[in-house]
Amino acid sequence: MDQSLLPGYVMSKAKIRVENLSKVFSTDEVDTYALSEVTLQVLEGDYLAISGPSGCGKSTLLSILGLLDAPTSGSYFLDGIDVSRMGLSEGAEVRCEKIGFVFQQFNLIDGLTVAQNVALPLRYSRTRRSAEQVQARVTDCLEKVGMNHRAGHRPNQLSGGQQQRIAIARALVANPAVLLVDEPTGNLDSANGDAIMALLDELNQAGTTICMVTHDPRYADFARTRISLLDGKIQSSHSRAAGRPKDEAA
Amino acid sequence: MLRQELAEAWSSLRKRPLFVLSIVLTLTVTLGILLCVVNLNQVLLLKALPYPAQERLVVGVGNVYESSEVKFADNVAYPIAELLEKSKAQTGLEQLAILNYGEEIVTNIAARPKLRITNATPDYFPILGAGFAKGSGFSARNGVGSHEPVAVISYETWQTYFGGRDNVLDDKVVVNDVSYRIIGVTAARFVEPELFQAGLKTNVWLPWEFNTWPPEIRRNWSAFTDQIKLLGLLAPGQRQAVAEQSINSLVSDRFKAETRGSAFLNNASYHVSLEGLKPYLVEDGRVSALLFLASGLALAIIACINVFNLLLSRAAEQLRELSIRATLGAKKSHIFRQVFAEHLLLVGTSTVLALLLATVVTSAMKDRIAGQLPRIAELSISPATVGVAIGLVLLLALAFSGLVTHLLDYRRLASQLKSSGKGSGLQVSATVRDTLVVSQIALAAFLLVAISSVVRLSYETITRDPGFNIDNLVFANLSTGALQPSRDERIRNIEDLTARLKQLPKVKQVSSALFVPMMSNRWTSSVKLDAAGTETVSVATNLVDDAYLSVMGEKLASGSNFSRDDVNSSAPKVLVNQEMARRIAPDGDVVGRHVYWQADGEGEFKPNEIIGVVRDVSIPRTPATPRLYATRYSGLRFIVQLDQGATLSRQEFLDVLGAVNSQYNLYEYERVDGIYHQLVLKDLFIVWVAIGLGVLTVLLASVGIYGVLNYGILLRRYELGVRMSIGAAPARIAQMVYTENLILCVYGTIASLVVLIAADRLLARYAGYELPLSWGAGATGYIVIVASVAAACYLTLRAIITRWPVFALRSE
Repeated sequence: MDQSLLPGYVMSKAKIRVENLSKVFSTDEVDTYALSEVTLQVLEGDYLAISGPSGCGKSTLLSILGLLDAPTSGSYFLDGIDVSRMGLSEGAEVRCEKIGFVFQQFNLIDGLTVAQNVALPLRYSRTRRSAEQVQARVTDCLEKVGMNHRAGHRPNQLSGGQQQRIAIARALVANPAVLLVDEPTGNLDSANGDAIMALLDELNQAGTTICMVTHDPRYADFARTRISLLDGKIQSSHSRAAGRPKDEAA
Repeated sequence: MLRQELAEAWSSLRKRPLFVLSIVLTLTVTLGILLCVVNLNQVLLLKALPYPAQERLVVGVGNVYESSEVKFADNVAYPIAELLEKSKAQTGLEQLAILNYGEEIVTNIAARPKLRITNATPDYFPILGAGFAKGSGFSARNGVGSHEPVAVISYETWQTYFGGRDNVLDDKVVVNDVSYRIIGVTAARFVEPELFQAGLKTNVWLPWEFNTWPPEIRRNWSAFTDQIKLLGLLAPGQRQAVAEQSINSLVSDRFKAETRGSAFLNNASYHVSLEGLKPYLVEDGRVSALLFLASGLALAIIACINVFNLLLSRAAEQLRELSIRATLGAKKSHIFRQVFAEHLLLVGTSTVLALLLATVVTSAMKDRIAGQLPRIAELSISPATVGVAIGLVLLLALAFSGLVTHLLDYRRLASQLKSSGKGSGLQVSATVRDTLVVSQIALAAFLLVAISSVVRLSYETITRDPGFNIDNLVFANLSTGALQPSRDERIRNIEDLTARLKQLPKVKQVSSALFVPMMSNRWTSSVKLDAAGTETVSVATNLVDDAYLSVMGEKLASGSNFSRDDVNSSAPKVLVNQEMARRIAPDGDVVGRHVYWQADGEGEFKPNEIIGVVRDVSIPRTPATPRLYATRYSGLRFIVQLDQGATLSRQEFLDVLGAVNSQYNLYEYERVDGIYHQLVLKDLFIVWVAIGLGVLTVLLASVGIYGVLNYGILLRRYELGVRMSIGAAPARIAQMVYTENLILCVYGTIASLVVLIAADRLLARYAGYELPLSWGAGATGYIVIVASVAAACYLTLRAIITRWPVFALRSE
């Protein structure tokens, strides 16, 4: 479907563009195509949901988009930069500056406070920031997720929903070009899951580009664009106008 | 009871051969060493002596006191020994034997070997409950004053020199032209107490009266020697202190009366202490044995920490399986049994191999270190040692299993399956992990510093320039047997033999001298520094000729050497060494001065002019000693200087000697470098043992440090993956891990320094022993530790930071 025909469509640049992306896991006996010739793009401000059955390659795709893994072939442009063949150190730099990753298991570091966890990407960044600048940014991100009152706590003192909010704050702190979210509600109950999805929706409404993997069709509906993967290939792609499903329903 | 678990453990361990090999090798070597030193300590310090009523056996230790200070320790004068033997009924001792040690050529054995001879009174064998393979020991008629020439030989001597012949009691030994009928052979199991020196075993016992002390020594109350010993058996119920008092009441006043007026002993007193035989024998070896035990324990602890870390890694690997078992209903005790079975197999196998290793090493120790420590001949793997081994198996298996099971956190085991499987469920706190690393480093560093210091000290002793020649020299000591040639005849023989030896192409020079420098402390005489005799110095004394300094390479610091005329005329001239010169005058300028020398220990102090000062020599394990060289020598001892690399065999020398006087024998014939190396043998032994321990420590420490750091870093693999996924560069991760672990290095270093200083203080206070700590040498140990830490970090991190973060997140 031609997206330019949708009401509310604004001409945006592509934050993510992959072309003919493949990922092959080779053993002595067999080559397994986790991804096969995947082509897609995520525009600025877009909200993409990637869904599909277990083993379809959605987590593999997200890992490659997050520069946590390298493709076997194909090209990947992130915010206009070709990151397809980057080395480990360059990849780390790009992850720091351009990508915010939210994991299913939250992946907060128990030995650090909430504020310290959120500040980590800024510590790893090449951009020098004063302590006050870091503190201000951390506070800002924690306020966005409604967790500033827990800045001094340790992750294991918080509930799952709270930890995921902290994880989202950490992903936002470096002002990334894109937020990559892997099954954000997988470890949460439905109430907390709904709250997290609402938060992500808010962030997207405010302009954050989000690419999310989910197997839950309810949460996939939050996204503006949905792609389905099967056996490492894109099976279908849907887009809708801006606004949440229930607005449409209303 | 554990059969099923053991079978499963065996099946599981078979699939991990490298893991099994690491643990078994580590434990086998370290437990083997530990069992050896435990065995050594048990024999040395705990095991009862193999004699009946051993708790009543005592040694009389006589000390000479001058002005309340010990002048001679553990020395006996000949008349004192005989007095006590004759008066033993008044001593409170049930039995008393007096012994004299010497070495003589046995001339009726084809090889004319020099054998160790002990002259003993008849009580000797009964005191020790000695059994006999043949015949019996001495009877009452072989006591003091008896001249019946009989002999008892040792079992080894019977086998070695008499072919184990059945009719040995028809045989004899001929010593100094006296033929002694063999009346007994000691039993194979007879263990002779090593009273004179560790490792010194008697070949032949002769009656007391046949000792070779000359008449003037036999009646001299001030001629002390450590070659005579007193061995007694307290009467039942008799207190040691009471017997001691009885002995001293016999000796003290008589000694004072006999030595009154002696210039050698100025207002001296003599006191005999009775020491238990066991403490007397083992005192010298106690500190060494305890040090070995401490080292063995430290090594074993390092090994156990290493093994524990490996077992923790194993538990982490088995987490899923254990989680399944817990889910299916296994209780904590079932999990413990599962883990215990595996640990029991590993530790049990290692301990069996360790016992075998200990058996081999113990056998080697008996051969190699017989002269270094007492009671080595009694070494064997005792039932107590086997008991310790069994105890170790149970203790270690239980301890490892208990700790691992505790860390597994049973409550969380069942829930592991519900998670995505990422990360590790083995909850080892950072404190436990860091403590393991710090203790590993501290122990290893402590051992390495101590070992480096000991090696350095012993190496310095071995390589120190002695200040005289030791190469290409042979020392020959002739025996005239029953002949008693006159002085003139001896001098003719000396000159004749010297001339004939010099005719041999390989002989460069010959000197006639009483001792080589390493031996000169065998004879001390007295020197007065002035005619009034206000100050007397005991000097190590040597009688030399004009060729001595040249042959031995000893250098003059000032003055001149003896001339041939001085030698021929026995001129009243002496040389002194620098140490002695400083006693005479602080600036050491003493040439031309006179000292008053009592040559024979009881005669007049005669004036002798100092014509030269010889540079001090350095003898291993001997402090700086004042020395005096005189030249009125007519004894039959020679130092032969050979061409570089040449040898002069005993037979070649005998051939030349035979042309001079066919009745002379060669009592002693040794290479001077061999005599010198005997002195450094103990240090060589220490160096090699220390180097061996050091290498083992480095290997174990490196393996252990690698193991614990590898495990610690791998436990954090997921966390490191998270850090990388949010932007940490590989170099940043490496910097973080290196810094954290090098900080632990610092803690470990501090801990090791504390332990070293504490050990040094404790040893000094309670054992009178100072660790020869060398911080320069010890720095090597710390460098090795830091290098091991850095290498361990690098090897482990490499697998994580050289791959994309997704591998760490998947714990691949």
